[in-house]
Amino acid sequence: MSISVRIPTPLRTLTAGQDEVTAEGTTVAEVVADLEARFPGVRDRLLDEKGVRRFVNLFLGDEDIRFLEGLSTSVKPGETLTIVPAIAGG
Amino acid sequence: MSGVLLGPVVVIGLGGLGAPIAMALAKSNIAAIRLVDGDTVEKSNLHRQVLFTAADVHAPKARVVAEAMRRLGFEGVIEVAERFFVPEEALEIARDASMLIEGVDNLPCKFLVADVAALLRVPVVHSAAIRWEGTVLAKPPGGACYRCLFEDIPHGSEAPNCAGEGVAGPLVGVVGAWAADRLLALREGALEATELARFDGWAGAVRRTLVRPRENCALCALYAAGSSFPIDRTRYAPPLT
Repeated sequence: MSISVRIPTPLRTLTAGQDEVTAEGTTVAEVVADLEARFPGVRDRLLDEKGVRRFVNLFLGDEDIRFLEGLSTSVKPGETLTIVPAIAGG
Repeated sequence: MSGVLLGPVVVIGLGGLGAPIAMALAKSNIAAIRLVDGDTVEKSNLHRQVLFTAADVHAPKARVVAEAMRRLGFEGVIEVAERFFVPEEALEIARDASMLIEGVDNLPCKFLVADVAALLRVPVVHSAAIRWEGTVLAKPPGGACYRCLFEDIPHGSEAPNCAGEGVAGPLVGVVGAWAADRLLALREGALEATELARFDGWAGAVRRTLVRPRENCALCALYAAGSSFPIDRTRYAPPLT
């Protein structure tokens, strides 16, 4: 199944500038794996050996996946996964 | 406005975000404000740091912003702190703050502001912008903190900032104004939970989310216990690889 993934500005170099892409999967982990297959390098920017990197947040809809089931959280067609990294600047 | 606050609102970082924050607050009835930035105006700042002109190049940002706020009609007390918000000085700079608001350009300082807000037990607003992306995190007392969301300081290569990535000039105006708006909302007690706003200047979109405290957040645990902790430089160094 396909969901939308919003790509933050710092990661758009990996998605050829696209701010939103589609990805396949039934869980967040599968979606990230599909992103990596399409846009190599994305996975390492989101995950480390412990899971989601500590300065990155993944929101499914408006809910942080930490408060759902983490990377095992199920996704439904039409949902949106948003990547929110820590940024500094202005 | 209700809610008399005794201490000043402390504005940390007076660049692209600090300028619109100051402009917005200049039109408020805040009684006292402390402007904190040890930097001077550079020519490269002028395209997005809208309170500065070519005549201000090399002048201290805090002083120039204070003068601009006066011109805009701010009638409260303005304190100018031409200092950087660094671990050795942060608590002294913010000592009597009623609220903190920051638009600094580096992540260690954002974590430092979060920690100082927790120690002083005051509301805080964090703002950031890079390229076309911006975020504003507004934390009321007891709400989720910056460390609930981002835990700790990322490695240097993993932490983009506007110096390396650039930032769209108009975006900082939007994000800074929003940050000031959230500060005033916090002041009025309008926020019961921490709110994260995410701006996509390219798509012209903004999304707001309420952030819940993270169960194992060390900073919130200290806050809840009323504990103190040292503000020392090692706490704000990137983790070893």
